[in-house]
Amino acid sequence: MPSSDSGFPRYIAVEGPIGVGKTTLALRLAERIQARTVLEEFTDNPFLREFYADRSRVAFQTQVYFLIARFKQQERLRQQDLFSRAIVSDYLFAKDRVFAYLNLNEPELQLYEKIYDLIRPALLKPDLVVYLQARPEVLMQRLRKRGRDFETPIEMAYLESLMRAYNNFFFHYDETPLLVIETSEVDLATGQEDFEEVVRVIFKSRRGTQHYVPKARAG
Amino acid sequence: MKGPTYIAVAGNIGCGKSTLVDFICRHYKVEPFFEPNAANPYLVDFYGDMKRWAFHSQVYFLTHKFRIHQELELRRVSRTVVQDRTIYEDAEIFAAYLHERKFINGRDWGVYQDLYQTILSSLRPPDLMIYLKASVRTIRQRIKLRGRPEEQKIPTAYLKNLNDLYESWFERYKTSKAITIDTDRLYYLTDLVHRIDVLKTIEKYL
Repeated sequence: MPSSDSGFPRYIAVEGPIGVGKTTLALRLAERIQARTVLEEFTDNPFLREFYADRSRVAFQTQVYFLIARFKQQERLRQQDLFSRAIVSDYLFAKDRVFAYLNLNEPELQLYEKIYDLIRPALLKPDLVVYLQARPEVLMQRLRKRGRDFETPIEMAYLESLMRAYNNFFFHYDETPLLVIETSEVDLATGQEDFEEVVRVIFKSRRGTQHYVPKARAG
Repeated sequence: MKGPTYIAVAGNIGCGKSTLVDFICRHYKVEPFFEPNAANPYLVDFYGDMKRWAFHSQVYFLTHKFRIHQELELRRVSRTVVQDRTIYEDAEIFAAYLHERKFINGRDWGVYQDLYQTILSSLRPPDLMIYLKASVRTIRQRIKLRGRPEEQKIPTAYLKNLNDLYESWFERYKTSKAITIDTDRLYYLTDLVHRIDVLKTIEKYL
């Protein structure tokens, strides 16, 4: 997908672990650049509640559900006019595999990979992936703050392993330009200056991987 | 036959699918397509705890079958293929049976259906679907005749359930040209007249 003349990416995917602020940033960004949003429909997943309560039992079902739901959303995206308006999404399709590797056992993983292979050729690539990082204790604070009941069983150990899985995944990631933002010290949800700086960094983003660590502000 | 054709043969256990496939292949001098043998890694678990593993094992079968259909897709461009049992039957008969009997619960069934529909949307249907129909009585006789020990204990109620699912599936089936052959009084293995009849029926659709 080509970038527009202004150089701003046409299709941006915001990624990161649960609670880091993907959706908030995606919505804010979309408003700022007049883009359409494509958001994860996670609340539709009928397994999620049980998944967080007892992960191994329904992990495979949860995973297949997400894989197909995300795939269908991509299909809809493909049928729309990608060039009329930019798109900001709060997930990257490939994240599905991060979770698969985290939650599935070996035979399930093999089966999952078979299904993934079937749909891989039809996947769209963003022009830019923005990967939001935060320390696990910061993630925990943010989760508590938003207080979704089905997320309450989530433990620190899970957040730590999630962060490791994400870091590992993005360390090897080279399919699209990647911008890594460390968000532990900044407030991208409400902070105006923090946000505007991120917009500027995105605007200047180039090929390959770049890191951006905003400085904490006083007050 | 005009050019390469993809013929699929569907039907219950013991209705005579492989006999018909052999016969068509020999008649049209087509090399039969053998499915790669792969063991379902969930089958043992499944027989140990059907409720727990029905979904996994059916997703395995579906995905495996889709691979086979993809291979057929490559072949059918250049030569005629005759397929013995299709992905449609995996989903509409065997998985549906497990859902009906509540071994796959409603929520899992939704996911299975989503996966199946996604796969279907990328499949090109056969040029001709042949559905072999047989009564449970006939099926029982044929199972006895071919004498596979593992088939002798299949409950009649199960065969009946499958037969019902086959019937309602084939009524819905509109994906390609399709014919039903009632095999209760057909002996195409031994009877030349029956063979010619079957060929005539098939050729009308090719």
